Amino acid sequence: MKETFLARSQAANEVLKTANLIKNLRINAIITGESGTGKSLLARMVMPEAPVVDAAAGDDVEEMLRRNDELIIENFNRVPNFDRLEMGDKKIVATCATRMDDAVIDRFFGIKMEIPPLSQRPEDVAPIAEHFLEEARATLMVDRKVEVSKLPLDLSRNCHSLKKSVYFSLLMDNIEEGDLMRLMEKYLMDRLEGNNAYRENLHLFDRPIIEAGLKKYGSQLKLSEVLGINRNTLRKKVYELGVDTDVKKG
Amino acid sequence: MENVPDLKGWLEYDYNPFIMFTREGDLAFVNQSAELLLSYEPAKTFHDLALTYAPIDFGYKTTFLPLEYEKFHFYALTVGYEDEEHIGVKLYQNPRTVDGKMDAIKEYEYSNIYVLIDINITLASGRSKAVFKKEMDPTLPEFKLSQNEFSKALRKVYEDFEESKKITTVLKLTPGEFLFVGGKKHQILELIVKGDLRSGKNDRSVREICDGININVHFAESQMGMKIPMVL
Repeated sequence: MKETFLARSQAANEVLKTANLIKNLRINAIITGESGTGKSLLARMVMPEAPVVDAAAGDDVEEMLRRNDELIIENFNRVPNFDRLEMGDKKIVATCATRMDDAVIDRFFGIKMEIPPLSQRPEDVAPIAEHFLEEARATLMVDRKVEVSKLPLDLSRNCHSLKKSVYFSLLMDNIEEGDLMRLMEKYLMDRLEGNNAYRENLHLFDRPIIEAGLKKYGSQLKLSEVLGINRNTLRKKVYELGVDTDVKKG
Repeated sequence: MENVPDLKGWLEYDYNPFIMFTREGDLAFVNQSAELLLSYEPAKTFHDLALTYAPIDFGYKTTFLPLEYEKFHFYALTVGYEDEEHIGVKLYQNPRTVDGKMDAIKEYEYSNIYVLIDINITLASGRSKAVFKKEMDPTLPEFKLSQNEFSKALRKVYEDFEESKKITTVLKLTPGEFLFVGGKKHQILELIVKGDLRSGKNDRSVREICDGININVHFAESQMGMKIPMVL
């Protein structure tokens, strides 16, 4: 599926408009913003044919700059020595996830674009989530209609966490017992060690069953009956696991 | 000279700086060109100059002599006074020249200055709550300009106006003014950015960037002006 920089918010529209305007200009631009805000996508929009180097991955930025007229430099802040960069009349679009010294930016870049985190541009969340949902439905071959507004969306790492939460929600709705077992097995394979692993991992079962039960039945009294355990045992577990008891019955 | 209209506008918009002082040496009137000059040089310099070159008695006296203040070059001045209360001085500017930088200009891309301004206004409007207004001559052709450096300078200019409530960008040809670059005469384009509050913290770097690309820049309290040679 073709990646597009989706913009509904004013801030996103401003950077998108700028990116479109500088496509045909001989101007160097730096795009800043947290991880997952769409910096690389925007850089590729400006120069779709340009090679990409990642300073954080140890790529030889100087050499690539010598060999190319146009270049996308990711993680520009990790370039080892700015003094050795010879931009000349090359066209550079750089990205950077952390705040950089203004003097360095001023030295190289005519344009400075900043993409705010998704949490600061709520208008963009739904269309991007819709995009990921459509992609996830095609990838996972899910025909059923799902409403984005009903999904628990995670914006903590912008599009990275948003995409994961959309895929995860879709997967969860279609998961079967065998899938769940395999998932648990995979998860536990990496973590089983020491001499108390059973107790250390028991919360993986206890917590979901208690939380689901409280959501379904509303009271610990009723839940202890359904689970067939003593209500004091249940109360103790709720306390130990730190389960939020203020849940609405669903 | 009956039926002659008020000539103050001619004085105000004269290309040459005109300053009138009170008896105490305070400013009584300053035209637009002089405002720019006074952002480089203190008024006292010109008051001293006026007293030095004043006519012996009431009247006007023109003296030819070269004077230089930063980027301003003058070839003559007229000092006049008609009473004991005021004394005025007018300085005559040399044509502006930029020597030996034509080679650099030839390498620049033909640029659409409207696009460069639009980009910077778009980005600046994201950082500022100001209302942006444009008053631009829409008929300018593309000309040779370092897009990266010009944009860098303009970004820093708008940064200085971030606390303004209203920022106006004016772009116009300055009729009758030319810049000599590499021995050739080029029309001058004036870009003015003005607002109600200007920090001035980027003045030095804006000047450095502009010096490198043959743009004369000048600052006043609440405005910045660039004189850009239109190299076609």
